[in-house]
Amino acid sequence: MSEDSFDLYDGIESEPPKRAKKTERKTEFSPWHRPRKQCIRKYQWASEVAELLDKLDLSEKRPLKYLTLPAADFMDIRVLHDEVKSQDVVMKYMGFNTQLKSDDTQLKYELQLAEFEVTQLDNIDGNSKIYPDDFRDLSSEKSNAYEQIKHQGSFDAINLDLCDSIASQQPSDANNYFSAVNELLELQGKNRTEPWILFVSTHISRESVNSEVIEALVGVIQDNIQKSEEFRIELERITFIPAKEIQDVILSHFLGANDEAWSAVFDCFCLGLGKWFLQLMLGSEPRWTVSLQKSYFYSVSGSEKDFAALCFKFDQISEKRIDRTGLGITSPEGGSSEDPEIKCAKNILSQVASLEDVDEYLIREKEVWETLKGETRDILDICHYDVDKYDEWIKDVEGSRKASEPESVAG
Amino acid sequence: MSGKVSDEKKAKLYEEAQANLAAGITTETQLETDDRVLARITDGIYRKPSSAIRELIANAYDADATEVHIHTDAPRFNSIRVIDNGTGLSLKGICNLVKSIGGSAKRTSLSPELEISNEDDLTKSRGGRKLIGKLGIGLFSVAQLSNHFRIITKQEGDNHRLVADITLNIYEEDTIHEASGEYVSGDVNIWPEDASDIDAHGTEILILNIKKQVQETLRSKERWNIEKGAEGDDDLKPIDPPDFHIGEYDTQTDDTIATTASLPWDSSVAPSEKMMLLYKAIQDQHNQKVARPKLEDALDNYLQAVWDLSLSIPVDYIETHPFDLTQTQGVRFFRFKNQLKGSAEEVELKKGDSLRSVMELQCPERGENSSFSVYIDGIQLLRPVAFIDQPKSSHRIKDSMIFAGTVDEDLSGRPIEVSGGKQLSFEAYLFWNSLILPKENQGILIRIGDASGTLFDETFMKYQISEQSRLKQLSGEIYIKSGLDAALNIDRESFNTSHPHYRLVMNWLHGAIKQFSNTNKSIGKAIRDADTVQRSEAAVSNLEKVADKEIRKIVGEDYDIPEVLFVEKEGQLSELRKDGNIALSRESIFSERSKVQPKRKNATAKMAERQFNKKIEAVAKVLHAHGLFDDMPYSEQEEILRAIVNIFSVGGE
Repeated sequence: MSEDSFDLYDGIESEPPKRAKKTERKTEFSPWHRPRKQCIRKYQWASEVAELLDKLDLSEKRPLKYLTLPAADFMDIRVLHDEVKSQDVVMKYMGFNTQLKSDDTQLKYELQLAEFEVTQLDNIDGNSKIYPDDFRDLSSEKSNAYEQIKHQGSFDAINLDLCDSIASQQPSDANNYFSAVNELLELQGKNRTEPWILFVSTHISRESVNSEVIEALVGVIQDNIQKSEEFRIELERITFIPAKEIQDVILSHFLGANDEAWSAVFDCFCLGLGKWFLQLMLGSEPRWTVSLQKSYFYSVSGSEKDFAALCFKFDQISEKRIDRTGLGITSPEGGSSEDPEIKCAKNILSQVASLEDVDEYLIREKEVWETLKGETRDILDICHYDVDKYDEWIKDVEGSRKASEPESVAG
Repeated sequence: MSGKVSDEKKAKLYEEAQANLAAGITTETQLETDDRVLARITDGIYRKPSSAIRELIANAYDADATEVHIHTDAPRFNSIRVIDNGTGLSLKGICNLVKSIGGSAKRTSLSPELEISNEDDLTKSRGGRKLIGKLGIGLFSVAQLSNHFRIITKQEGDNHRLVADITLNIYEEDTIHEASGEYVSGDVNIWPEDASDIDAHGTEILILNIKKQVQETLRSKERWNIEKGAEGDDDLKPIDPPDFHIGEYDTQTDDTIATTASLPWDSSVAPSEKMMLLYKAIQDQHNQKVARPKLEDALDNYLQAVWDLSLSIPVDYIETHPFDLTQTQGVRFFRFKNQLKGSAEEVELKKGDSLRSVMELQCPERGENSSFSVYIDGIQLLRPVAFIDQPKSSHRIKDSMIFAGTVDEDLSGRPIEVSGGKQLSFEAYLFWNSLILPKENQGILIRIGDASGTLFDETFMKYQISEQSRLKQLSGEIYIKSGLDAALNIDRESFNTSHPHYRLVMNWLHGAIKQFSNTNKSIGKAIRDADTVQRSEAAVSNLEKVADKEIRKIVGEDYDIPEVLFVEKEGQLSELRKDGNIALSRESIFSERSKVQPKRKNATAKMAERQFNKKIEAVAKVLHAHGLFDDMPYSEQEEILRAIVNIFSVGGE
C-alpha cells in the first residue's frame, strides 16, 4: 500500500482467543526443586532478609521491597513470605519474567494462577507485580523495564537468581547483565540511605562464562594488588598464584582444561564480581561499602564447582566533614582510618575463601537434607506438583549425583 | 428466553458442574443472556474503557472486598488484572452468571442463595454494604475491552479455586441463532484448581487480548500523534502534550518508551499520597499556566481515567469527607431548609463538632467493612475533591461555604407513577468557593450507594435560572441512601430524567441552589456594605487631612481650627456658637440638595452623602480661616455654602 492509503482493517482484531485448561499435577521437576536450592532459599535468602529486617525495623511503616526474577513456581517469594510474616512485615515484590510474553497460553495461565495464589498470601502487598520484561532491558533507559523500576524507588533486597550465567555475554553485547546491574546499582545508590542486600546466583563454568568478562574481572582485582600488600598476601594464600602473574595464570586456567586449577578461577570470578560492585558503589555519590555475606557454591555438573550463590550487603558511608584547620577536634570516622576500598576488598576476599560447599554440607548433614526435602515437597504440593512423583525423582537425582544435568533455570 | 427456561438451564448446569467439580474435570458450556436485546446493548454502551473497570470495582465492593488492586500493564495495556479480597463466587454463582450474563442476580430472591447478597435485605451485601453493581452487567462490560477474559475465584473454606475461562462472541446481525429465542454470547469453561490455603478468599479477573482501539485510547495515541503530525504541517495546529502523563509507548520497537512519564510524584511517594499530589498539581496550574485548568488538557487519557474512577467509586476523599469537616479557618457551614424559598441557616460548629455530628449525617454507609481501598498500578484511588485552603479569586467573599441538607421522603402513600418507589432519602452538600478547580469539578455529582457513573453535571440537573458566574463557583454531591436506582439507565452513566425520583431530587436541588444563592448574595452584600463604610471612612479621614493642611498654610500651627457644625435644630445654634463652633443651619444650606437626592438610600449612597457633608465642612473651614466669614452675617455665610452645595450637587455628586 502507498503511504497515503489507509488500513481498512486497522483496529479490528484478528487473533482468536487462546484458551487455557485445568492444570494437571505436574510431574516434570527441575534442578531448583532439589533440597540444596531450598538450603539457599532458607539459609541464605530468608536468613539474610531476617537480619536485614532487624536493621530496617519496617513493621507497620512500609513493606519490605523485593526485586526478583521468579520462575513460574514463585518459590523464593513463598519462602521469603514466611520469613517476613513471622516478623509481622509485609512484602512488596516486583519481578521480571519473560515467560509472561510467551505464546504458550498454558504456561501463561499457570503463571497467572501462581501469582494470584501468591498475592493471596497474608503478608504480600497487593501492589506487587511481575512484569513481562527481560531484566537485561534495564541497560537501556528507554526500556519499559527501566521506566517501571525507576518508579519503584529502591529495593531492600534484590535477588538475581539467574537462569544462566551473569557473565555469559560479551561486555560489548547490548542488554547484558552487567549493564543492567550497573543501571540498577546506580538507582539503588541514588534513591536510598538504608542498607540493602543483593543475591547473585549464577553459573560459573568454562562453558557459561565469556572470556572477556573474566579478563575484566581479574583486571579489577589487580588494581587492589597494587594498593594493598595485605590484600596481595591473602590473595596469594588463597589462590596459590603469585600476584604479579594472576592475570595470565587465571586466563590460562580458564582457557585450559586443568580441573585442579579451576577452583582459583571460580574464586577469582566471585572476588572480581564483588570488587566490581565495590568499585561502582565507591565511585557513586553518596558512597557505599560492599561486603560479602555468608555465601555458597555447589556443582551442577556433578564434578567441579560451577554454581555460586552469593550475597552482597551494601551500606552507605556517612561522610564526615574534616576540619583542615585543626581548630575543631574531629573524632575518627567509625573508629577506623582504613581506606574503605581496601577494607571491603579484604572482607570480600576472606569471604570468598570461606564459601561453603552445599553439596558436601548436605551429604554430611542427613537430617538437614531430609528437612529441606520435606519443605520443598510441601511447596511443590501447593504449586500443583505430583509429590509422589517428586519422591521418586529425588531418589533418582540425589542417588546419581555424578550424572550431568543442566541447571537451566533457578527458582 | 423465558425466566423458567433460564432457571432450568442454570440448575442443569449447576448439577453438571458440581459432578465435574467432584471429579476435578472441566465443564464446558455456552454463555447465555436472558435477552438478546440486552446482550446487544451491553456490548457497546460504554464510552470509556474505565467504565468496565468501574463496574468490576463495583462487583468487588459488593463482594465485601476491603482491597482491590488493578494492574493495567501501563503503558502497554496488553492485559488488565483486577484482583480483590472479597468473598469470591461460588460454583452456583458462576453457573447462574454464565447463563444470564448481562443480567444481574443481585437484588433478586435468588441472590442470598448464590451467596451474593444479604439474606435479610436483598439490596445489601452479606457484610451490609448497599449493593452498587450489577454482577452480570459488570462482567459483560468487559466485552468493551476484550473478547477473552478469565475469572479465578475462591471462597473461604473451599479447598479449590474456581476458574472460568470466558470468550465472547461479536454480535452478528445475520447469523444469530434464534431457533430457541436464545442468544449465545460466548463460550465458557469452568474448572477447579486445588488449593491448600483454605482460608483465602477473593477474585481475580484477567482481561486478555485487549482490543487495539482500547490500547490506543489508554496510550493516548491520538494525542501524541497530533502533537507529532503538526510538525511541518501548516494545516494542523500543534497542541501541547499533556502536562502529566504515563509516557508514550513506542509501538514501533518492542518494549521501549518514546517519551518517559511525567508524573507529579517521585518514587519515594506512598500510594496513598499520589492522588493528592495530582490534585494539587492540577490546581497549581492556576498559578502557573491557565486561570481555570482543565483535566482534558493537563492529563493523558490514562490519568483522566484514574481521576474519573476515583470520583466514581466508594472510596475516601483525598483530604476528608465533607461531612467530617470540623471548625476550620476560612470555611462557613450552612444547613438547607427543606423549602424552596429563603436562605440557608448558618451552623456554628463548636470545638469538637463536625458537620456530621451537628446535622446527624450518616453517609457513606459501608456496612461492617467500612474500609475499601482501590489501587491502580500503585496509585491509591481517593476522591480528588477538597474543601480546605482552596485557591481564591478576587471575589469579595473569601471564606468557602458548605451547605448541607437531608431529605427523607416516604412516598408509600402515593401512586407509583408519581412516587417511582416507596422511599427516597438522601444527604447532600453544595460547596461554594470563588474558584472551583479543576473546571471538571464544577457541578453536581449524584452517588447511589456511594458510587457514581455520572460524574459532575455542570448544568446542576438543568438549572434554568441564569446564575452563570455563581454556578461556576459551585460543586456538590448528593448521596442517595434509598431510591433513584431505578432511574439509572443501563449504562449506569446517565439517568432517565423523567423518572419521578429524578424529578424529586432535581426539584430539591434547584430549591437548594436558590437558598444557597440567596445566602451567598446576602453575605456578599454585607461584605460589600462593610467595605463601603470602611472605604468611605478612609476617604473622610483623608479629606480632613487635606483640609487641615490647607488651613494651616493660612493660619499657622498655633491656631485652633473650630469645628463646623451643620445643625438640624435652629434653637441649638446660639448655644453652639457660644462654645466657639461655627454653627450653621443645615436646612438653609442643604434644603435644595435634599430635594434632588433619592429618599431611600443604600449604604453606599449614605456614605457618599456623609463624604459630601465633610467636603462642605472643609470648604467652610477654609473660608473661615481666610477670614471671609469674619464680618459676614450667618445667613450670608449660609447663602454662600448653599450655592457651593447646589453647584456640586449637579450631576449627582
